[in-house]
Amino acid sequence: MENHTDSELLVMFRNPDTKHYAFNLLVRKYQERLYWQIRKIVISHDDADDVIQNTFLKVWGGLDNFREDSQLFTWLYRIATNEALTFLKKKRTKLMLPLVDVEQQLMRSLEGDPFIDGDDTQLKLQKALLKLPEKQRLVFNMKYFDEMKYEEISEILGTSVGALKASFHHAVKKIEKFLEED
Amino acid sequence: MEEKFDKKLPFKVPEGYFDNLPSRVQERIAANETQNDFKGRWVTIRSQLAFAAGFAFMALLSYLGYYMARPLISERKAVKTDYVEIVSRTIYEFDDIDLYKAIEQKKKTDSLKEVYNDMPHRLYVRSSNCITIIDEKKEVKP
Repeated sequence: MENHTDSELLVMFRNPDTKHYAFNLLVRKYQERLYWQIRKIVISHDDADDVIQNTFLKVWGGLDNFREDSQLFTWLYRIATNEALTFLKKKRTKLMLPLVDVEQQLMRSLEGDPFIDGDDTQLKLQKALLKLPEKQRLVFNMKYFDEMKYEEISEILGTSVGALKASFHHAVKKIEKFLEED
Repeated sequence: MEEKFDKKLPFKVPEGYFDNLPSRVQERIAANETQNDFKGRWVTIRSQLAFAAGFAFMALLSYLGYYMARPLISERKAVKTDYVEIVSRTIYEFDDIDLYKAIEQKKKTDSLKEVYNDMPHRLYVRSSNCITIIDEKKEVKP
């Protein structure tokens, strides 16, 4: 498969004859990175699968209006993150669950999902992450696992760099505390 | 922390998942577009149906209104055009020949004076559109 730049993909997407082909290439290019971002938030593979499909549906509907003010990946990442958070929010509202119970559900997914495959330390870290507030968990995931710059995270989450640094700092402290207690 | 934990995630995906995902996404898009197309058509049809139903309702209301008000219409005073209509409807009920014969026979037996005497004297009131008989008496001459 040829490697197309984002600009080339966008030009192809805007042409009705190559629209579907361009979108297929775009999905192939970004699917893994977006999937893992979503998976870290919703934990279960089935949920992540639903969310990523919804994400690409949104992208298909909105790509015509995408202004190249920001990078395509940042835009995609933002949609994926919002979709994953909305998914959790809907789950909470649908089941009338308080925040703690959703965390417990995610914890159960971590223990019972057939597509979990990690050693004890990896699982322990994930369990510690589920104890964090949503925002801190997001920031930690993006900084620690995806090694993103604060500026990029700031653009995706719409939060100032200072606030992100503080969130990450608090997240690390809480995780360390949790791991010491465990 | 990085020394303690590697950055590997404890998640995996079914085999071939990322190979199939693009085609599954395309299928979802196609299904969604068909659904949207159906929804769009339904919205159009629905608005047309609503318009037709509204029109039918108005027609029904007019029909009912007309037939419910009909007794009131028939009770109204007769106007000049009604007489014309009544006359034109009943004019063929007279047999001209019978009428002529009757007049001829009367002429033979009675004088005009007698006929006049036998005729009842009527009092009429004439208004603008009609004439009303208000009294009738037969004058008997000695």
